[in-house]
Amino acid sequence: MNVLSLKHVTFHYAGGPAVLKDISCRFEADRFRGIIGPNGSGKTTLLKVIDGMLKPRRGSVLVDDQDIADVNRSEVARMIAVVPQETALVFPFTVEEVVLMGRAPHLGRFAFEGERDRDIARTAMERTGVLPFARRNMNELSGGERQRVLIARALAQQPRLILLDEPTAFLDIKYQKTVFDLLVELNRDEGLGILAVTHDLNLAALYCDTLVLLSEGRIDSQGPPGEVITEERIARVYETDVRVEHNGESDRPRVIIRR
Amino acid sequence: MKQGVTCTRVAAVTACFAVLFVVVLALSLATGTGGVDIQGALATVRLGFPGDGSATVDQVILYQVRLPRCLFAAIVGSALATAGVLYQGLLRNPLAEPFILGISGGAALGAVVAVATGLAGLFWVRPVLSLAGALTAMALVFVIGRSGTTLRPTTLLLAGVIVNAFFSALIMFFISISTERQLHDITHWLMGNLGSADLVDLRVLFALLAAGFVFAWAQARPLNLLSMGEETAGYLGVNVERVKIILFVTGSLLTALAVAFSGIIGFVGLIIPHMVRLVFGSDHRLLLPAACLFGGAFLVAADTIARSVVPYAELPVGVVTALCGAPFFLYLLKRGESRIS
Repeated sequence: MNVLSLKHVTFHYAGGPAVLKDISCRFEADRFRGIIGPNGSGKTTLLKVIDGMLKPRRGSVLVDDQDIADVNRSEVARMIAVVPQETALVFPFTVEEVVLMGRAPHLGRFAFEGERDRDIARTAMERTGVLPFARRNMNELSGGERQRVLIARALAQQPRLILLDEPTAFLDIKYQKTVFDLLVELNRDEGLGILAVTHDLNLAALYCDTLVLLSEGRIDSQGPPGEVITEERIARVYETDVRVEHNGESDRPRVIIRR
Repeated sequence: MKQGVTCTRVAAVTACFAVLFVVVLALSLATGTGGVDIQGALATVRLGFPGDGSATVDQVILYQVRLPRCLFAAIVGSALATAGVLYQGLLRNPLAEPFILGISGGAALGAVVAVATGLAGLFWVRPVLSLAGALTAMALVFVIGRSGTTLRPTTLLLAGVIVNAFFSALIMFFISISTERQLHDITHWLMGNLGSADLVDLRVLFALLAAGFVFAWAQARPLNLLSMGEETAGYLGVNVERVKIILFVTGSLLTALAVAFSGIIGFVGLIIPHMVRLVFGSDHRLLLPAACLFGGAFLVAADTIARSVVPYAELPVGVVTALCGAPFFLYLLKRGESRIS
């Protein structure tokens, strides 16, 4: 998989109003992209449509040239990994078990994880810094640790593209930085595509190559952070008075709320 | 302490539970009010069972009374424990058990109708009606619990509660118009007992259990992924809606199989999966075979107590499982509470 493209995608939940309206865009599987937009602008729905979990009512999602609806779910899971916002575990599973679940799309129905799968899981845990608590129970971990376990599971899937839904929603600034630094590294060193939905405009501007700004189910604008995040645009889309600062000549603007 | 699940580990743990199962079965065969003790049982087993009608009393007790009964208890216990695992995984609710989705209510109604109409004395009427009731309940819950094209755990649970309540009302109605003698029969059935072991073809029951188990085992990894949430399971390549239907149907059929012949034997399907989880973790590839064997062994043991603790009388086995199960359940609840706080 090299390119994932959306062609005139429209989506609404059963009986509801349209959540996504005529969305067209391309995600190259080696970029670091952010999806931003106000609450209810369709960000999370867009992630689910991109992964093929929700089928567009009109339009299509193409993996290279193939409609994702025609690709078997395990194969999708080998190309695209999703890190959900939070995971509620009903039964106790250890960190290692959770990360090994990422190998599921690579295994036959009755197959057990082999040495190779364990190595891949171990590398993923090392990479995200969760190896020290591999044997601990998932439920005993803090929010920041759990988030990194879920990223490790996504890595164990060995995908080309990782979708993240609010990866830093419940994290303090230390873990926000840890998670985004890690994502940048994965993108830079391993050519892994990153597509992160986030509320945090400043983090998005600081880390992403390009941003997609959603507003009421449509793409308002997309491009480098410096182009997308302008005072006029953020004020209009978020209906909030803001000041946008530029640090010297860098392309990483900062948004400050005006009281 | 908890290692990852490998093929060898599953085989080893399953083998341990199989040994436990055989030991319990052997002890149970040697226990009872019929007069055959361990030595007698051993001696009798060595002789085998003669097919020419020259069997001694001991041989008859062992081969025609205790053995069928023990095997029947094992099959029912295994079916209930397996169904419990499937329901807990499907509903993602640790308090789920085989009777939570109304199957037991349907089976009970069938049995009560059989008794109240006086047809229960006829050979197959009661199990057949009770199986029919169970299947009706299952179909109702499926239809009510399905919203659009998805099976939602909460909707399923509510549907189960409603179907159970409705069937309970009907059961009350039949109880209120039944005679004293019928009332005794009904109560006895509702409390669960394994007395109908001689009525059933154990080979058929075993074949059905085995088939159910294979279906369940094939969903072991999807079950693991489902416990991370339906969405996550979907992201990891599981065809969630299809898996949920397989789990619902398999769990319900296993439950129907158990209740149709043995009545409502509580707690096996609830506590056995939890006990195995406490010791061996939640991986369903290990949990399913272990719980299946342990459930069988547990019910054989409970039934042995039920039929031998009071001389010349028999307790309903449901009483024994509930007496063992309720305290354990409380323990789980308290443990869960302390973990949350």
